[in-house]
Amino acid sequence: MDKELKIVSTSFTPMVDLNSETGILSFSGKCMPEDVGGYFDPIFKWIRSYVQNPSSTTELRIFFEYYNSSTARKMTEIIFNLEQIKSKGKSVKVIWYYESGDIIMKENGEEIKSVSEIPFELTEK
Amino acid sequence: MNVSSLENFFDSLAMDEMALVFSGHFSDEATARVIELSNAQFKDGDQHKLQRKTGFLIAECFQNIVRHNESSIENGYFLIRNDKGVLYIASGNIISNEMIPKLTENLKHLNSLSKDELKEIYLQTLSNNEMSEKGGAGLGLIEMARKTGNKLSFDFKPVNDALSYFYFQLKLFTEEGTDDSPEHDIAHNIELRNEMLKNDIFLLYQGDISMNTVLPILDMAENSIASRSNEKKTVKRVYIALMELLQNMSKHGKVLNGIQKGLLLIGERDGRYIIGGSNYVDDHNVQILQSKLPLYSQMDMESLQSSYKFVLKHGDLENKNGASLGIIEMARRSTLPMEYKINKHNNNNVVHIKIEI
Repeated sequence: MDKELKIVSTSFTPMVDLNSETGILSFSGKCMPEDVGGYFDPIFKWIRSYVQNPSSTTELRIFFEYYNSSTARKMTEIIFNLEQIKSKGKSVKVIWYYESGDIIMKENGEEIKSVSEIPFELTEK
Repeated sequence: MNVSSLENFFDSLAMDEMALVFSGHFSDEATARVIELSNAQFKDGDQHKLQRKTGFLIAECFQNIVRHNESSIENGYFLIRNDKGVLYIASGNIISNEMIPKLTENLKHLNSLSKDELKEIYLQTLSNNEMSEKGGAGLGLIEMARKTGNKLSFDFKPVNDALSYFYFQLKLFTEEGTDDSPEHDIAHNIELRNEMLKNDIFLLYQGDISMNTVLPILDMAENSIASRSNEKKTVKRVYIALMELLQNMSKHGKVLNGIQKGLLLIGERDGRYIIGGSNYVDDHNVQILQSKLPLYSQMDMESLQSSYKFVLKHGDLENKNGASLGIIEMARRSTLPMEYKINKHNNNNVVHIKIEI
């Protein structure tokens, strides 16, 4: 596994920066790829390998402006994958950022939080 | 707008290879997106020259609307249609009645000139530096007349004692030696605009709905909605529903004659937004939609929310392509129950979906 997986943003995909040393995994921007499977493949590959030997603390930072419904499912799958870190006795949490006044992204975050088994914070930016 | 008006629009535009009609906020951003969408109808390579010419004419038409609209810019309108090798580019804007005689004379004069005479008058105007009060009007018209190689069509419809609506239309042949027969005179496009007005539609797109076109459509729609609504929540809600609808059409549409044809309409009345989408779908996907659409269009909000959460957590247990989540998302963003209709057009299945927010 590479120490870091960086994917530059496009007009319909987010900036992704997954860092195994800092334990910070961040997604920001728009996420609405049509071929969600293809887009998330390298991300899942990296994450599955990361959870085998995670950093002492892991933070999944999500700051989306827009995302499509298939991305929502992929993000919950990422969160389910991260649950394994908890059983290894290391800390893991999700921080869901939303722009000030963006009620829809706040509500969406609450919804994903409700299916998450790891600590999940909502933070206004 | 209801599902049957969506159906009527689909039927009346079905023969067009591409149609895009837009009214509302005219900006550089909108011009760029319209050109991008228009480009999607051209084949790479051999139609490059035509693509550039079309882009130029679209930009000129937009300029006309922005520069010469006497009333609020929201009254402007723009159209591009490709009907069997003939491309129509049209614009509409409000002008003062005093302008009509001069404008008519100008246009008639340009229509009477030969290619060489047009070139001559173009060069003359350039060197004379003679600009109309609003800047460059003369030059723009001459350039458009030169680029189309066809007569300019126009018409005036009275608005009130002081103002009239000015319709302007250009015609361009997309293939060398195309016959002049498929005559869409300007009245035909005026009628289309009237139908749109009646249904409060401000954006109509008929053509390829695929990865290449979804983004420019979304961008255009987002800009127009944002210019109409101050409520960020509404803009976002409409955007999300629209994105799911378009991606659903793009992912599951059927390719006919090389394109994945679909129709999209967006309308607004008193702050309520209506989104309609119609497209061809193959038998397999129709079966899936026939099981999902009746279910989710009748569900109340609470059940929609819990269904969404269920699929979010467990995935789509029935089919891997994840159609469910997208359909539930559309249904729950719709403030009135989502409506749909599945029927046949020339023996192909067509799915129509209407969302209201």
